[in-house]
Amino acid sequence: MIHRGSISLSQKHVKRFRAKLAAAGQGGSVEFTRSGSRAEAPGDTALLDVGEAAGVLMPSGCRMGICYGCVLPLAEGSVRDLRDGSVTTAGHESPVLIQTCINAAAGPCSLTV
Amino acid sequence: MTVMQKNPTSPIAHLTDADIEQLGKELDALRERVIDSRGQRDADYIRRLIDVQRFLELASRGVLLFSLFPPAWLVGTTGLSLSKILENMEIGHNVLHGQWDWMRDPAIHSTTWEWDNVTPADMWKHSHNELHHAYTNVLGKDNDLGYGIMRVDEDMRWSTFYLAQPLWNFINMLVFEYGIAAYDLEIGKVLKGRKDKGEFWGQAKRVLGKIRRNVTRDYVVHPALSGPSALTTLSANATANLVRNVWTHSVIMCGHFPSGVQTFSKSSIEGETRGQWYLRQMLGAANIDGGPLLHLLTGNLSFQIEHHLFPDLPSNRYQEIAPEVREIFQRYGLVYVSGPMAEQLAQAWWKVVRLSLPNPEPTTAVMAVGQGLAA
Repeated sequence: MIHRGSISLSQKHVKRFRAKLAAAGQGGSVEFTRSGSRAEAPGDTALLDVGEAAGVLMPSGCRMGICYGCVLPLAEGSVRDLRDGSVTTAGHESPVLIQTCINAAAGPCSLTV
Repeated sequence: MTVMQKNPTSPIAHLTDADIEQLGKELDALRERVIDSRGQRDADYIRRLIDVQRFLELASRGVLLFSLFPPAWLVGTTGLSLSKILENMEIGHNVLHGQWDWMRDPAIHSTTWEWDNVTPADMWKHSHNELHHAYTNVLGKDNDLGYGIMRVDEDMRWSTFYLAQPLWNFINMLVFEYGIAAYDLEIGKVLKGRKDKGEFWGQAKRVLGKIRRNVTRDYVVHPALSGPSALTTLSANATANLVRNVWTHSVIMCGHFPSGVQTFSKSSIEGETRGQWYLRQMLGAANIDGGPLLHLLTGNLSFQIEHHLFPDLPSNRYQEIAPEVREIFQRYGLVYVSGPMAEQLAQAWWKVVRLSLPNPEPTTAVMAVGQGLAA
């Protein structure tokens, strides 16, 4: 059971630093399967930001990759860690849990939210 | 201690912005190396630990069925205390930090793990992972600085409430499991109207549910199963809970309250870079010296500094990277705060006692703000 963290009400007071680019990769189209939304995600933008910009209620926490409050299932596709460039890919019929605040789309993907 | 920004001799005065960024890169590289090397031996470690803890709990409760016999009471209570400590510290705290999420084991994952503690995992993750670890030791942001009931820094405004803070701390220590739950409920925020009452009551109901489950297990079912040993089993469970409370409270006090640990002003973290975040973690935590048993029983929070630098690295790795972290401290001219438990704990308690009184009147004019983290 995934806890839905509280939405940060004052985005302007959001955490100080954001993940620096390891290497800009291709982005992709992201599907938010439960809310039915879709968005084009650049390769340098955290999926958390992409989801929020698309009006999806995304769980979040520290927004800097240390609290695991933003974890969601990646049902399909691949994401790239903005900190070190490592790629995580969902297996067929085996979603993988990822942190959305430090991962960007690396090709088309879908998140269960 | 006041906030680092008001310290006339800043511990980071010798570091340039470039130094701090270089520090960040070195620590990032260290983190990457550990991540790349995670594997079977780490997975074996946590799985074995969980097996040991579960066996210890089962065996201890089994022995306590005969707790009327003093040796059984002693052995069972000791075992049960240790199992509760292991479950909360080395297992629960670390699993909930996401340290083992990389294994992709749905049974050992920060999103599914529920620990043997009356505070629900997700509520604790919010106050601890999200708030405490991001805002570590920032006055006005990190409520672990006093937990809302104590004044632990000269720059926290004094009021008569704090006169009794040694007593509040002592009571909190005895009932720490409940203290944490109350803290995670953010009761203060609710009273000030800064938290939605609906959300609060929903959380409170869940806390009460966990309390009911634990109380039923420890003080009703287990004693009932012990027949003639019912009362002694009850006292054994109460003792084990108390031992766990006192121990975990003491370990946690040693994390950020000993002398030499820095606090930081709210304004100093605006625009904070990764290097500066690392630096704040280095200066805002303290370690405990000891052997392997101490490290295990503190949930490796004896390596509070390493934990704060890398909260999501597997806890068994902290001891391995500690020498390298120490070396980095040395090279950057920073003080690595560490000491034996008795010393650290005494310093922490002394801070609680000393700051229960208002600050002595300053004898010189207020010094200009020293070099801050964000220039």
